[in-house]
Amino acid sequence: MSLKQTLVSRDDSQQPEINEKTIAAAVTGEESPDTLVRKKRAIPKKRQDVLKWNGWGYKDSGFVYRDGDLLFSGDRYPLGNLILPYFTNWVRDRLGGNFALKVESIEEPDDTTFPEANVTSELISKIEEIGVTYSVQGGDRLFRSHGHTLHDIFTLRTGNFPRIPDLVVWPESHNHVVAVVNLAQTLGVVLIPYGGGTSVSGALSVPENERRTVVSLDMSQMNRILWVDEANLICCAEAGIIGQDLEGQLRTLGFTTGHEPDSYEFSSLGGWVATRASGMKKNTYGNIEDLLVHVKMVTPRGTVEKHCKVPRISAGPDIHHFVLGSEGSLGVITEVVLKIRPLPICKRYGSVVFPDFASGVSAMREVAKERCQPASIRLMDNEQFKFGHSLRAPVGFLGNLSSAAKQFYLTKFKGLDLNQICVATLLFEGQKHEVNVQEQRIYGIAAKFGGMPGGDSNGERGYILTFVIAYIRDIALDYNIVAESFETSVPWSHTFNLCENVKLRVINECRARGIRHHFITCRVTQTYDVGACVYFYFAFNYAGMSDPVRVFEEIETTARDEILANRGSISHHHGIGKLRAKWVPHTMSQTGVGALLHIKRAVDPDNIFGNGNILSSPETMVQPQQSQEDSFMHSKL
Amino acid sequence: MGSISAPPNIPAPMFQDILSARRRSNDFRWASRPYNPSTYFVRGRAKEPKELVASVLQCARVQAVVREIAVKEGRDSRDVAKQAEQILAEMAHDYHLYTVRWFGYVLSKLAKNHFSSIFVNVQKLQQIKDCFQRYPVILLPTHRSYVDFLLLSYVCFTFDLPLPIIAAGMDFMGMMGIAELLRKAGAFFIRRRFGADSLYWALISEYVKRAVLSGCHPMEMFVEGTRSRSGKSLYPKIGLLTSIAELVRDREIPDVLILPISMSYDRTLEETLYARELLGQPKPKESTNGLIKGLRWLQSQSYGSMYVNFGEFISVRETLGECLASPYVDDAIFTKRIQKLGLNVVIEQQKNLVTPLFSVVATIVLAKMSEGERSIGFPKLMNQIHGFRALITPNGSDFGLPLTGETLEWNVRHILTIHSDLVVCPKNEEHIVHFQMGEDETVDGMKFQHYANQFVPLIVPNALLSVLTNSATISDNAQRSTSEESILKDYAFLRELLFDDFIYDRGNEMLEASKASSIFNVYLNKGRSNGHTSRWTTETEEMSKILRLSIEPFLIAYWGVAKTLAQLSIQEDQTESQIVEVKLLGKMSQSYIRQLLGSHFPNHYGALSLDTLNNASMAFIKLGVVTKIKLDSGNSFGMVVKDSQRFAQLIILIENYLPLRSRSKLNAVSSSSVQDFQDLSQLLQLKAKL
Ligand SMILES: Cc1cc2nc3c(=O)[nH]c(=O)nc-3n(C[C@H](O)[C@H](O)[C@H](O)COP(=O)(O)OP(=O)(O)OC[C@H]3O[C@@H](n4cnc5c(N)ncnc54)[C@H](O)[C@@H]3O)c2cc1C
Repeated sequence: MSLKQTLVSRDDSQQPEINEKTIAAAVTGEESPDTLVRKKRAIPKKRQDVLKWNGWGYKDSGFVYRDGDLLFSGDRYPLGNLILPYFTNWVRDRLGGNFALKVESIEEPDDTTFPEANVTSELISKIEEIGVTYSVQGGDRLFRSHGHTLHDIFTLRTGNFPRIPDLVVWPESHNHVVAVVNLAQTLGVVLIPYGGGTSVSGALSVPENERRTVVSLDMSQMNRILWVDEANLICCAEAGIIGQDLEGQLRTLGFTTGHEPDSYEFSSLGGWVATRASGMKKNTYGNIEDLLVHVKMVTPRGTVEKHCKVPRISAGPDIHHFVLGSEGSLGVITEVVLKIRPLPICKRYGSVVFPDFASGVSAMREVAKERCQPASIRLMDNEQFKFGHSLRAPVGFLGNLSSAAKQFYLTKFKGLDLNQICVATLLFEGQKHEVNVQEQRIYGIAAKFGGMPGGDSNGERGYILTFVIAYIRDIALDYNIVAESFETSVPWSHTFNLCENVKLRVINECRARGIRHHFITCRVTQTYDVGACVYFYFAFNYAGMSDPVRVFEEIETTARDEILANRGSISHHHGIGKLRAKWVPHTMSQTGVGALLHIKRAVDPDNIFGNGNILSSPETMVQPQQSQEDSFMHSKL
Repeated sequence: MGSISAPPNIPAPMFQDILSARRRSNDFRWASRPYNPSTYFVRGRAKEPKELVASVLQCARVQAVVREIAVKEGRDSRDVAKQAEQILAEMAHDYHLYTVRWFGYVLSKLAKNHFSSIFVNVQKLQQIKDCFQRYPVILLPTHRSYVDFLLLSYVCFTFDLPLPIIAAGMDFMGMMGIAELLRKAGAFFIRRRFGADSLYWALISEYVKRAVLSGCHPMEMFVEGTRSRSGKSLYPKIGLLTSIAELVRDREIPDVLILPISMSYDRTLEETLYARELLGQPKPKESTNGLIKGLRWLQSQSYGSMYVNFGEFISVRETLGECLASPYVDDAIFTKRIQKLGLNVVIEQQKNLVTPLFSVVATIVLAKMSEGERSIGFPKLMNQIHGFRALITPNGSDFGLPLTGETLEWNVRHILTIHSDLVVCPKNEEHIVHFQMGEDETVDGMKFQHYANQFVPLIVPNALLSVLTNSATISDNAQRSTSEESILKDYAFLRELLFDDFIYDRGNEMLEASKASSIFNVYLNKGRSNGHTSRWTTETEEMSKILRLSIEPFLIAYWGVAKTLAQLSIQEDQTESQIVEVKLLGKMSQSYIRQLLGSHFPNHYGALSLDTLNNASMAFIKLGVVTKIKLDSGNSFGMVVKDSQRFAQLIILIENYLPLRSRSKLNAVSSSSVQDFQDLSQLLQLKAKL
C-alpha cells in the first residue's frame, strides 16, 4: 500500500508511518509490510453464507419454538441450546404470543427474481480497470439494501424493497476507494458506503426515486489493522474492520479500544464514525468521538484529513466533526486512528436492586455527579427486570429453591414490591484495587437511595444477554409480534419523567388503537455530567392488524414527539438516517441546517453520496429565502 | 301543536335513575358493600395524603419560596417552613372509606326523601373508566349548589368509580365538624383570597400537582370558582387549571384529561339564599347550626330530580398545542391557551346540561310578570313550552323530564307542584297557573330569574335577533339600515357585549345567528302548515316577544351601569377617593335601576342582579371604554371612564334596544346607530378572531 498516491499532499507527518507499518506487520504476523495479508475474518465477503438474509445475526443462532418451548439454537452464545420455559410463558402472558400460529417469512428470493441491475458496460469495465471486485447478483444487492429497522426486516420477510442497489463493489484499500469515487463522479453514479449493515435509522436504504445507478460500496475487505503505535497508544485500521475482528486482534497484542456498541460483532469502524456510535464501556474508554484521533474521508472533491495525530488542536472548527455522524452522505471513511488501552487486569460484574425506578434514577444521577461511574452502569426498569428474569434456563431443584428464597427475602424482609423494583447492572474494569474502590463507592451511593447489592451473576447475565436480545425480534415476527428499540439522551432534570412519560404515552397510543398486548420498557444505559442515555424497547402483538409496521411507526413517532417535549434529543447514538430526518430542523435550527447544506455542497456538489440521510425531510427543504441554486441543491439531496 | 312535540320519553334512555335501585334494596347493605373502584392512573407508587404533604414540603419550589420569604421578612426559615406545614395541615384532604360509606348511606336516605330521581348518563361510564387508566383526570362539574360535590361523589360510589379529591372553598371551615367530615371524604380546602401570598400559592399549586400525579384519585374542581348564584355559567377562573396545565407544559406528565360535567336540578336547594345574595341582602354565614336548621326545613320540601351528564374529554396537551413544541414556552401564550381551555370547558358544560323543565316555565312567567300579569292559562303555557322546545332540540338540547315515560304535559304539572312556593294551579281552576308573590316581589322575581337563566342561554341567538328586528322596526331613524348585514353586525356586537353573561364559542356569530333564524323559520312554517293561520300568527308573535323580554333584563342592567358610571364621571380629573369601587358601582346601579323598573321599564327584576351588574362593568373594561384602577384599599379596584365620547355612544347604542316606556324623558341625545360606532365593532371583530 502506497500512501503517496492519495490526493492529499503529505508533509513530514508521514515519516513515523514507516515505523508504524513495521508494527502493523507484527500485528498481522506478516513479513512484508507492503502486502498485508488478511487474517481469518468473522464475516465472509458473501455475507449471506454466514448471516441471515432476512433477520439478525448468524444463521446458526436464534430463538426457535420446539416441542412447546422456546430455546436458543447454536453454541456461539451462553444461552446456546438451552430450553427457556419461563421466557416461553413470558411471551404468552405478556405479549399474547400464540405459538400455534406461525407467520412464515417468504423464501429467500432467487437471484433471477430481482429487477435488472441498472449498470452500463462502461461502468463495469471501468470498475474492472480499477481492479475492485464486484457483483450484480440479486442476493448480494438485496443484502446491502437495508439495515435492521423493523421496517427493513418486515419488508424482507414479506416482500420487496422498492429500490435496491444496482451493483456491489468491494474496495480493498484507500486507493481503491479514491478511484471508485472519482469514477462515480465522472459517470454520475450514486455511492452508498456499507459497513456492517447494522444501521437502525434507514441510513442504508436507497432513496426510492433515485434514477441514477446506485453502487453499494461494501467496506468489508478493508479490514486490516495498519499499524499499532504503543508509544502513543493509538492504532490505525481500515474502516471496514468489524468490532469483533478489531478487538480480537488487538487483544492478542494486549490492547483494547474499549469501544463496544451492542452491535460490535457486526458493525464496522467506519460505520461507528459515520454514525457517532457509543459503546457500552464509554465511561472508561469514551465514545467514538473521544476515541478518534485521526480519520480519512474520501469525497468527490478529494480526501479530508488532518495533517497530524495530536491529542488536541485549536485550528478553527474541527473538521472531524463533520466526518463524525456524516452517515455516508459526504464521503467514504477509509482509515481511522483510534486510541487503544492496555487490557484491564481485573474485570468484575455487579448489580444493585432498587426499590423502584425513581430511586434508581436518583442513584444514577448521584453516581454521575460524583463522577465515579464504573466502565458500565445500566439501570433497567421493572418490566425489563422481569423480562430479563424470564430469559433463564430452569435449574435443578435446589437452584429453584434458592431463587424462591431470594424472592422471599427481597419482598418480605426488605419490604420490596416485585412490581416496582428495578436493577442496575455494573461492569468494573481496571486494576484490582481500583475496582475495589469503585465497587465500594457505587454500593455506598446505591445504599443512600435504598439500593442493595444483587450479586455479580445478576450483573453478568445482564451483559451477556445483550447480544442475545438482538435475536428476539426474529422469533417475535414469527408469531405476530413487532418490536423495535429507540433511544435518546436527556438532561438529568428530565430523565425520570422522560422515561415514565414516553412509556405512558406509548401505552396510551396502543390502547387508543385497540392494541391489547403491548410491551414498552426502558433502561438508562449511559450517564454523563449533564444527563443520561435512555434506551427503549417497544413491542406489540399485531394479530388481526393489516399494516403493523405503519402503526408501529406512527406510535414511534408520537414517542419521539414525546421525547422532544420532555427535552430529550433526536438520538443519542442511532443517528438520523431517514427515519428521524423530520426532527432535524427542530434539533439544530434552520441556520444550522443551512450550514450543513453548504458543507455538503463543498465536498459533494453532485450528490454522489446520495443516500438522502440527515437532511432529507421536507422540513429541511423548506427554507424561506433561497436562491434558484439553492433549490437546485435541495432537489438533489 | 301535537305535531311539533318530541316523543315524550325523555330523559333519553341513556340516562339511568340511580335512586330507583336504592328504593329497591337496603341502603346500609349497599353502603357497606365491597367497594372496588375501577383502576385509576398513578405515577409510580400511590401516595397517601400524608406522603403528598411531605413531598410538597420537600419539593424544590416550596423550599425556594420558604427561603425567599425568610430572607425578605428576616425570619428564621424553619419558622417559615413551620408556617407552610400549618397551611398544608389546614389544606390537605384525607381519605377514610368509612366516611364515604357513611355519606353513601345518609345521602341515599336524604335523596330518597326529597328527590324523585337522580338521572345519570351511563353511556359514558365505560369511556370514563378507560380514561381513568390512561392519564390523570380532572373532573370539572358545573357549580350551582353545595349538593354538586356530594352528588358527584355519590355517583362515583354508585358506579364503583374511584372517588374524587375535591378542591373546596374555605366557607366550610366555618362549619364545625362538617369540614372534617368532608375532608375525610376527600375534600381539600383553599382560601378564597390569597392574592400575592407566594407561599400559599406555591403550596396549593404543588399540592394539586402532587395529588394529581400520585394521589391515585381523580381531582374535582370548579372552573367557575364558586357556586353560580344566577344559575348561568360563570366566567372561568384559571388559577388551578394553570397548575394542571403546568404539569403538561413542564412534562411531568404527557397529558391530563379534563372531563366537563354538567349537573342540574329541577329545583335548587339554595334558591332563596341566592336570590337574596344577588339582590345584595345580607347573607347568613355558613354555620353548622344554620345547616341543621336548613336541613330541618328541607324535611318538608320536595326537589324533583337531579341530572348528571358528562361531556367530551378535553386533552390538555392538545389544547396547549404548538406552544409545547419549544422547551421555552411563552408565558403570555400559555396563559391565553389556559383561558381558552377554561372557556371551552364552560361551553362544553353548557352544551351537555340537561335543562330543568321549570327553567322554561320561569322564562315564560317572567315575561308575563314584566307586563304586570299574575297568571297564565295552562294550555297557553303548554303551547309556549312546546314552541320553545322546538327551538332548542335542533341544537341537541332538551328539557329534563323527571317523570320518565310520561307526557310533557304531565311533567309540567309535576314540576309546578315541585315549585309550589312560586306557582300554583288551584284545585278548582286547574287551567290557570298563578304566580305566587311573597312580601318582597324582587326576591321572587330573582328566584324565577335563577331558573330562567338556565334556559335563556339556549335561546340567546333567537332572543337577540328578536331584539334587533324589533328595534329596527320601531326605530324612528329613517336612515337606519335594516339590512341583514347590519343586523348581523349588531348581533355580533351584542353577543360580545353580553359575553360574560352568556359565554359562547366566539368566532361563529354569523353562523350561529343564521342557524337560529332558520330554526325559528322551521318552527313558523310547521305551525302554518297546520292551518289556523291567524291563531298561529299571534302565537308566534307572542313567542318573539317572550324571546325579546328574556334578554331585556340584561340590556337594562348594562345600560344602568353605564349610565351610573357616566353620571359619576362627569367631573374631570377624579381623585382616588372619588373613583367608585366596582362592587359599589354595582350597588349604585342596582338602586338606580330599581327606581326605573315599573315606571320607565317593565318589571324586569332580573336587571337587579348584582352578578349581571358586575359582568357589565367587566364588559366595559374589555371593550376598552373604561379602565380598571387599583385602589389602595386591598384587592379591589375602581372604574374610570377612559373615553367619555365613545362611552356616551355606547350608552346610546344600548338604549336603542331598550324597552323604554318614555325615551324622551331619559335623555335628549339624538339616537345613534352602530354605524357611528363602527370602530368599536371592528375592535370587537378583532377580539373575536383572537
Ligand atoms: C442490535 C443492534 C445493537 C446496536 N447497538 C448499538 C450500540 O450499542 N451503540 C451504537 O452506537 N449503535 C448501535 N447500533 C446501531 C449501529 O450498530 C451503529 O449505528 C453502527 O455504528 C453502524 O455501523 P455499521 O458498520 O453497521 O454501519 P452501516 O449500518 O453499514 O451504515 C451506517 C451508516 O454509516 C455509513 N457508513 C458505514 N460505513 C461507512 C464508511 N466507511 N464511510 C462512510 N460512511 C459509512 C452508511 O452509509 C450508513 O449511512 C446497534 C444496532 C443494532 C442492530
